Amino acid sequence: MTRSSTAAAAILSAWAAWGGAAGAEELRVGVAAEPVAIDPHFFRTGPNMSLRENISDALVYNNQVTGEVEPRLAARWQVEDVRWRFELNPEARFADGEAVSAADVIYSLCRVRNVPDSPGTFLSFIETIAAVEPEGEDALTIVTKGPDPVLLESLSTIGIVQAPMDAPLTYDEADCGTDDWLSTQAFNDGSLEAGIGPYRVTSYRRGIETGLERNESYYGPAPHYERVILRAIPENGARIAALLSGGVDVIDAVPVNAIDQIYQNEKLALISAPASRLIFFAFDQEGEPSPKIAGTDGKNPLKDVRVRKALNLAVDRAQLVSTTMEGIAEEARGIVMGTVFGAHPDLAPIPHDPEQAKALLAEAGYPDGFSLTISSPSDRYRNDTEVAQAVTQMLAGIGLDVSLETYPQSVYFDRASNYEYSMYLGGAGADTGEGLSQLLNLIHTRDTERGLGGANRGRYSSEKVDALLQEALVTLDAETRRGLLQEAQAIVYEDYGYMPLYHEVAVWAARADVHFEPNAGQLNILYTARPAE
Amino acid sequence: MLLFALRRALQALGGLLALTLLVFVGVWMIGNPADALISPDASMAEREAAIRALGLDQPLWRQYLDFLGGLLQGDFGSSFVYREPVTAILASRLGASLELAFAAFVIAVGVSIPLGLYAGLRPEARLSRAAMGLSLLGVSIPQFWQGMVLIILFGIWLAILPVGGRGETATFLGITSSLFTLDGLMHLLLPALNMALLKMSLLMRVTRAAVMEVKSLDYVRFARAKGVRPHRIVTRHILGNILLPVLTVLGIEIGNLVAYAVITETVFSWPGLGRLLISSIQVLDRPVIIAYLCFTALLFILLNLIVDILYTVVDPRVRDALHAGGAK
Repeated sequence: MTRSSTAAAAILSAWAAWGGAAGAEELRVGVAAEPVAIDPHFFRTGPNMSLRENISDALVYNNQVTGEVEPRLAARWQVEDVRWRFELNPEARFADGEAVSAADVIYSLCRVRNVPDSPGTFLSFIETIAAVEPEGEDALTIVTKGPDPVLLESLSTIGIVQAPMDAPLTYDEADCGTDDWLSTQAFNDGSLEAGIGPYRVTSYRRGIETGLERNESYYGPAPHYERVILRAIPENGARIAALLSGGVDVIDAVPVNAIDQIYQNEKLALISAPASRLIFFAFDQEGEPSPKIAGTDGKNPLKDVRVRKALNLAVDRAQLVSTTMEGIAEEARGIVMGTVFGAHPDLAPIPHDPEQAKALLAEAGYPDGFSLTISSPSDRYRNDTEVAQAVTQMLAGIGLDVSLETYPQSVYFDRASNYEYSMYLGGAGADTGEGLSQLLNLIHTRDTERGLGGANRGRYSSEKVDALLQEALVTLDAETRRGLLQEAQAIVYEDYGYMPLYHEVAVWAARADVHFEPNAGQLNILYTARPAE
Repeated sequence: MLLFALRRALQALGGLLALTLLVFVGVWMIGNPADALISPDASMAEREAAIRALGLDQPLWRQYLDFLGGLLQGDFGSSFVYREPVTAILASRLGASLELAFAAFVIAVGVSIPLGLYAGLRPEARLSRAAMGLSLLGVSIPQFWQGMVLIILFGIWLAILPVGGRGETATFLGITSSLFTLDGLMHLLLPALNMALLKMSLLMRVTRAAVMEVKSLDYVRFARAKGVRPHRIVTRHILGNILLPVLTVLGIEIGNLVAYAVITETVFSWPGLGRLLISSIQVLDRPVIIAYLCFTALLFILLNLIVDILYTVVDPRVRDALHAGGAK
């Protein structure tokens, strides 16, 4: 079983071709959230991962538009069962002219576990790695604990930094025999480079802006813009104003209520890509009685598939998408979004059928409904409160006595983890850019020891689903794995294990004369930006 | 006098301690900061690593004692998010807040005291009526909305002023500030105006009321009857006596300008303390919240002290009372 890299090689040459003439202009980007560090391993959070993609290349790039894994620091690779052999690109050089070596890769993988004081590490992306064997300077073999079909996607999130020592460390799951972990501070103040990337950071003024400059010795195609400024503008209105007034050229995370205004402005363009994040309601399928349900004599009606189906049928997804989300979302059927690996293309849309829903409730023994409080965060997802309000109305439409409670995210997820909700709004994306991680996170039986079902706080559980996902975890053949993922989703669909609402659409807005490429991972890819033709 | 100051200092210290305890317990009751920080998709191992790294695996009393221990050495701890000393983070934001407060203060005082004085002396004049009408508007418009209107008006329609950020800074006499560059001043104008409008209205009304009260007092009438020139009546007799209420309001308002510019800083993406506070509360960054609140408490204590001292300078009655008290 080998995963060929010929496609990857073809992409590499195409990628090298369009580099073309590089200009000298500056691109100013207004970002909703600023990176909290330049250090590529410090904090697993969207803005940091987004910056990392531009300044610190990983071994590979996970192109979430084409669904292909492309070469970066690794020029080519091959896999045999648990052994992945990577050949490094000899042209890829750090700022001091040293080519990237196996020692740098091993050091970086070790540092993920040992990065000092991290408030959130990238640990889960390297957990399947058992050993790393250097093979000379410019090749290495990564040995996984079992077959790991998503190793490449996982590795695509780990930026490679320059090791402070020459000899390669011996990889282990502790400190790799050293305590020389470069400090985050040194990356932030510019005394250390974040790695090899199309851009390098020239200034980092926290809470204000991050300045980037084109890396002139980059091994790949040169980015068009010589300088990029990332300006932190968390307030939605202020971000839009900055774009309208010409203070910035591009903004990310365009709020729903500004879509119309930008659409009608011919000097501006909306740029969007379907994002992998599913927005859903999860049902408490464990608690008895369930904490936010009353009027059922202590029973938890959500354990009954008929009730879950009734709730699903009560929701008018088309209206939710067109009205509440102003069209900036895609109705969900399965868990995995259409263009992501593992999506199930044949699931029928869940109809909006309040009459059948009422009948199902009666059949399940609740002809007069019951009273239910649903929970939603107020500041986590785009329009989360509005969506929850709309769903509250729709559920009231089938005779339930529904109310809504909302919390800021600083409180919300803690309570969700303590199982304080009966039906709660959540979101989960395909972090690695393919469906398996999302499914393990959402529909695998919750097992905190093994880190499975991490977002499955309603505790949906099905032995069949677990078995299929476990098998997919060790299946390297892509088509077989795709089949397993689809089968697992079909079961959840039949079980009405979740109430999937929609997949988010990531939206940027830019001046009409700027070409900016969107992606499903909601990252800001700066190096492909260029003037529009 | 010394005893008085000492007692005040001790009270302040007690207040600060109570404040830190309150924040500790408050944040603890709200939830686990680790959950607000890490990705909702993070694994259990990652969550535990984060909790350990932040020191949240210790019992609360232990965390609090550790905090107090650090405090004795002047260490407020490190931010949960940035993992850097909070004092350094606060210091890096203070400059932006101070210059915004300063600019707003200059605008507010520069406009409101003369206008208030005029309105108090000539309440029937057309300008006075207009000013009072506008000031009513100024105190009742929400700052957030007003900021947006300023942005739309000057930043988008007229397109003459930048709408967000701090602009260029320059260093002069060891102070780095955007007050020293044209670009910086352009960036400063709108947010400063936004903050000044409310203070302006308030100060103008206070000044006017004080003037109207003072000008009908006997000694002013007497001075006028005596034939003292109107100019001297205003500068010497009226202005001197309205200083007391104006000073009291000013003291509080300066504190508000520095510490609670949250709304303006949010609307104009001004990188000051207010924005830091908001983003820290969102992720329960406890060390930053505590350090910030202690800083504001100290600021207000200090300002009150300065106002008290100024009282004695400005008002001979207060000075005499203190002396009399001290003589007993």
